Amino acid sequence: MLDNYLPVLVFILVGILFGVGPLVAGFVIGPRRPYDEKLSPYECGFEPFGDARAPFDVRYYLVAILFILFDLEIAFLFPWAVVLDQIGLAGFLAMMVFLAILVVGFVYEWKKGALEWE
Amino acid sequence: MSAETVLTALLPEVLLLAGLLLLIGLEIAVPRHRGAFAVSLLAVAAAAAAAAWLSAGGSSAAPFPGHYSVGPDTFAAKAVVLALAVPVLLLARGEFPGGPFYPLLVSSLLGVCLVVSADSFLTLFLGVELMSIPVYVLVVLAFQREESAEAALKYLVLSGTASATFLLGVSLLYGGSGSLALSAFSTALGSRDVLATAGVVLVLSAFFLKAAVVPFHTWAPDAYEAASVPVTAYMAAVVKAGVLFAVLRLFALAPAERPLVDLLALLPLASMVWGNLAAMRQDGLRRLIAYSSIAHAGYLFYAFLGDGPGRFQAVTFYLLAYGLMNVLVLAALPPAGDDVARDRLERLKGLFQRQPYAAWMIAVAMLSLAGIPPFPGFVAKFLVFKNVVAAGYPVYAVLGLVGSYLGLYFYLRVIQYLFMAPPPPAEEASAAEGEGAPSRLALAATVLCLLPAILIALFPGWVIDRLGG
Repeated sequence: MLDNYLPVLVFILVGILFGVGPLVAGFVIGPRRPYDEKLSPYECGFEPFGDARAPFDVRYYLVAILFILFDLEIAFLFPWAVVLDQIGLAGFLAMMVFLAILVVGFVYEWKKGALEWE
Repeated sequence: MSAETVLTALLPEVLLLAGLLLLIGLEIAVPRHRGAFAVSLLAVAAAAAAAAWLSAGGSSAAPFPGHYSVGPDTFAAKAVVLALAVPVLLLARGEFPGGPFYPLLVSSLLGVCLVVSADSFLTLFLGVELMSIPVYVLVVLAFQREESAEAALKYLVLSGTASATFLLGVSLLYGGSGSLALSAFSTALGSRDVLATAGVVLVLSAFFLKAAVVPFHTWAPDAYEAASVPVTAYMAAVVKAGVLFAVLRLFALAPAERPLVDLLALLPLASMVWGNLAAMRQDGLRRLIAYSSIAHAGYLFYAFLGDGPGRFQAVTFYLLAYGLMNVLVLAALPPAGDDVARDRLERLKGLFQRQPYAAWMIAVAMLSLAGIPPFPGFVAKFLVFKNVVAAGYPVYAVLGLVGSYLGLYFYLRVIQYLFMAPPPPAEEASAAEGEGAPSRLALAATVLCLLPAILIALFPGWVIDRLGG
């Protein structure tokens, strides 16, 4: 039973090795000649400005949530569309009810201003 | 299967969904409408009545075979949770005149109904999430204290951890059995396989966390305290019931076997002892309720030591008695100027002189929660411990009884405050100032809790028969 999970174990080990190995190699093999300029923090070549802990715009969060919602809707719609001719009217109506409920939610968020960017 | 049978089997859910859509529709179409309370009350009461009626009619069906099924016992369980939500809604009227409270509550109830009928891990997970996610928002919704946001975040993170643990356990069970049916869990209970046992333990820990069993309980006192009164009542009565029904669905009729029995007895035992001990030190009523609910989660999980059919009856009866009494305490709690003041236990001193009815209601609920004989809490505890003894674990039963004795102290202390202690003179003025009589709806809520409580105290056998199992 457990040997079915051997690939998973191998995968985890390779993953750890792949992530940790180069770091350790750099640490061990790499030459280290530090001086002030090298040790100062840098940001793609220019002087760093601002704090790393800047507030993140919450609007992205809302967009992400909405995206997931309608992304999942598509995941339901594709298989439904493929077998539509076999499931007949009942299947069609069931999906319409589902979509109607989603539309109510969509109109609600629209009205509440979730789609306004500014 | 015809559309009619499917709709009948899903009637409580359909009514809730219709109410939910109507609530959202109202919110969209009519700005500043006042109908949310009426619509949600109507939907929940109708769903409860439909569930009770279908349960009495003894109908059973499987509208989605392998995923969702109903029978007299599941309808009875739905009727219990939906009926418990009615007084909660009555309490909410004063606190939430409109807004997102009502749709959130109704969708959470829809989740509970889904949990109760779940036949596969997918439906169960869907139900548990639909039940819990609105509650995170409900905790933060009233926002009367600084701590509300913190408590809601704690609840969200820990509950999310529980969901992840549940999914990991399910994936192990699925890996072992190749099936997503809930029966995979009960099969794994008896198995010696390492993976199956790991899956069972992970799934159980997840529900221990959701039901706030020691050592997974720390979110509960904060969340119960920070939520507004109706939300606390909802979490203590309905959400806890939903989680326990999920575990009932998982175990089905399978007996708990040896290595697992100890886990299933020791953590709930620790929960009883620690919940009751910690409750002694609380000076806020809702924190006290929270620790008491941690202890009660222990008693409820104890019922799983017993055999299958007795288990269902014991848990359902317990949830009914315990839920009614919890809602009763919070409904009878006199309103005050601000939320923190309302919560202080000190303020209950001498309440009997000021508001005898409220004092009596709180006293009845406390005695019932403590499990003192004529009250329904006694019958509920009796059923649980009877099953534990009958299953052949007398030592655990005795330890549990000792643990429940610890609880008497703080329940009786509240009663001493109510009837024997005079209000402290310095605070007398301030206590009387903010304190008003309970609203008419809160009184109706106490009556709605008290009448069924009297019924189940007088005719426990009749009620147990109705609960099926």
